Amino acid sequence: MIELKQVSFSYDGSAFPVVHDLNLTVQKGELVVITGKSGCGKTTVTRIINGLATHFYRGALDGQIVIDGQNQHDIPFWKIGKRIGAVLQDPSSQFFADQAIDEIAFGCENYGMERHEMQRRISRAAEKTGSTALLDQRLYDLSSGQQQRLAIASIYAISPDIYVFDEPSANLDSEAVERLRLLLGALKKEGKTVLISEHRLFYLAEVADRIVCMKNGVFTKTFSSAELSRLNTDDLRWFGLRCAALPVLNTRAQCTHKEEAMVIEHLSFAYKKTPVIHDFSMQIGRGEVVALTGPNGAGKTSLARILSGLITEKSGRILVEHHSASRRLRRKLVFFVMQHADSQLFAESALEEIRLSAQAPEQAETLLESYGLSPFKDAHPSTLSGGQKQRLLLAAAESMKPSILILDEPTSGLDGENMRLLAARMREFAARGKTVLVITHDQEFIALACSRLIRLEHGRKIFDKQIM
Amino acid sequence: MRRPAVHVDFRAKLAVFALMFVLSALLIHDVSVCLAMLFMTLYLCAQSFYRAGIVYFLTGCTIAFLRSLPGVEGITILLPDVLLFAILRITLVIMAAYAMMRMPPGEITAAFMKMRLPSALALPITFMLRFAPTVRGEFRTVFAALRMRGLLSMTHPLRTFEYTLIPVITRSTVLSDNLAASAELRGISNPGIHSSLRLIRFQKIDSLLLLLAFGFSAICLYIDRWVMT
Repeated sequence: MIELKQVSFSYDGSAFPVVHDLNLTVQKGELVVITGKSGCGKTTVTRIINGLATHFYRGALDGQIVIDGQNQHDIPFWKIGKRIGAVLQDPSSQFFADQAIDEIAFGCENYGMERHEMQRRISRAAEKTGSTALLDQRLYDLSSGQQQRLAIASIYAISPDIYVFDEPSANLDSEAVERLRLLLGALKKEGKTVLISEHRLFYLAEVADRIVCMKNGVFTKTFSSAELSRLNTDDLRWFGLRCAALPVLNTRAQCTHKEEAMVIEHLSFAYKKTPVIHDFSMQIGRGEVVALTGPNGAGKTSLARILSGLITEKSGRILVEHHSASRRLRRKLVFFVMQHADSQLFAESALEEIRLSAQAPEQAETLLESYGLSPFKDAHPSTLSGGQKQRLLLAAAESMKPSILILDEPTSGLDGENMRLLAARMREFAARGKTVLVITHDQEFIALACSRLIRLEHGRKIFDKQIM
Repeated sequence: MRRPAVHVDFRAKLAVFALMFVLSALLIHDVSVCLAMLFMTLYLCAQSFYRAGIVYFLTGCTIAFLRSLPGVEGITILLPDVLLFAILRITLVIMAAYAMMRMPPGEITAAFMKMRLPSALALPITFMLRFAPTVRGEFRTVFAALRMRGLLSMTHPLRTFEYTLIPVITRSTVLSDNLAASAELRGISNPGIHSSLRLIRFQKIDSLLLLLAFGFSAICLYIDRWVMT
């Protein structure tokens, strides 16, 4: 059981608490979801519970945290992992080993378990998470969904009573999200206590006992799953939430009347002799916002890298605006916004970031304003929130006036408000005659922003339909 | 489970690393460095790291060949002779480090514990070994982003260097925090006994490897000091 009693916390060096006066009781076997806008303090709550807030980030904590009847303050930090298992947002950044089996063993080894006990637990954890076939594989060769399962398996092997997840669905495709949902249900059935910080609520509606909303560092409202599903659009917007049930995408056969912006003919690509894209052909018209979906590892990012001129195709032809486009030309006409905005921001201020590669630097301030970033024009990009960084990167991309904009999972980690802002901006961009290709698993975003849906599986186009 | 053809104990690998580190500082002639690299190639191949062994060896030989050409003072202004000299020797050390970097973390931590090294020393080394490939991946992403933004310029190397460094440092800080947090939450700081899924045992093959490493190092030094001069 977890109990927070009048808990306030501020990070080291900050005078203001990120969260304050939190009171929460999570009973044994309960599954509780904490949701709210980006920066509301959700992740901090998970860090307070797993001890990272005080022991790792060295912040100031007021109030009391009780774990299974014992004051968390009295538990040595290295022992907390035995009671509380934590899965961070990006599983690939928490892996220590090269091979999957060693990653699952990592926690057991640190707690000094006997080899035969360790082997037993590894087998059970792999079986439970559906990772048995992955044990011999290198972690970096696995898809995001598989990595997520292994991150959970490495915690399951330690056998804690409490599981804390931070945005576990952020990088997962729909199939992996469904597996995650089943796994959470299974943990709950085993009597484990689960606490999840999450934006996407649709997959949790059936398994969650309670959904706690946060705003500006305080718990504002608690819903049951049924109550959440009854909230209307205005309520969801007020809380900055995502939808509780996925919107249905009505599609019809693709008909292309629009002027062609890009034509791809029989494109193939292989990575180290492993085929990634097979005989892929498509046409994208001006003003279209195309969603490119498919399971993790289907070849979507490789396709984007080829189209933007970052890598060379093995065979096939790409035409941009009716001209055969070499890699160099593609780099000028197509802009690819990759994942992790941090790796793509180079300047010392937001305004400088736009000016850096702008075709018309004098319009930088206007552009910054249109993305709602004027108040932060002198701020260093690294100090901005995730959503603000994402918008700054898009503004920088727009400043280069590309004909085609490609985005890779732009809504990963975005709250409802930022996701809706991004969708509106993409529609606006397309309305100016530009073309947008979005790699995404986010059905809610697709429904709001996209006019066409293409699905890629094993490097092949499975379907291509117009969204009505 | 994919296992190397020869399993070498971490302590033997550490000794080979230390030996190559010293050797890289002592060897004057490129030929003797290449000879040491040949030994390291065999060492890596014996552990099934064929590709890495061959790539590093060929890189070393190419650098040594370029340096041996008369009148060549390095490759353009970006790779002057002195830098090639350093890269050649660093490659030898990297070859020794490679075999350690590919080891399971539990095996390294348990070996450190067995060596009774203080955790203040063991933990940063374990962390460093894991972090190197992550930073390499980050560099790749940043270069791709620079190319997209048209900021990757060979004519302004200092500016490119600055643009590369800022995001790599920012991302590395985030990733190192995540990595350290995840390790702490899985008991890496446990002051008690750490176990290992793989057996930690100094075997005959490790003793033989150390003998060969010392012998080969002595031959390299002999050739470097008495044959080549």
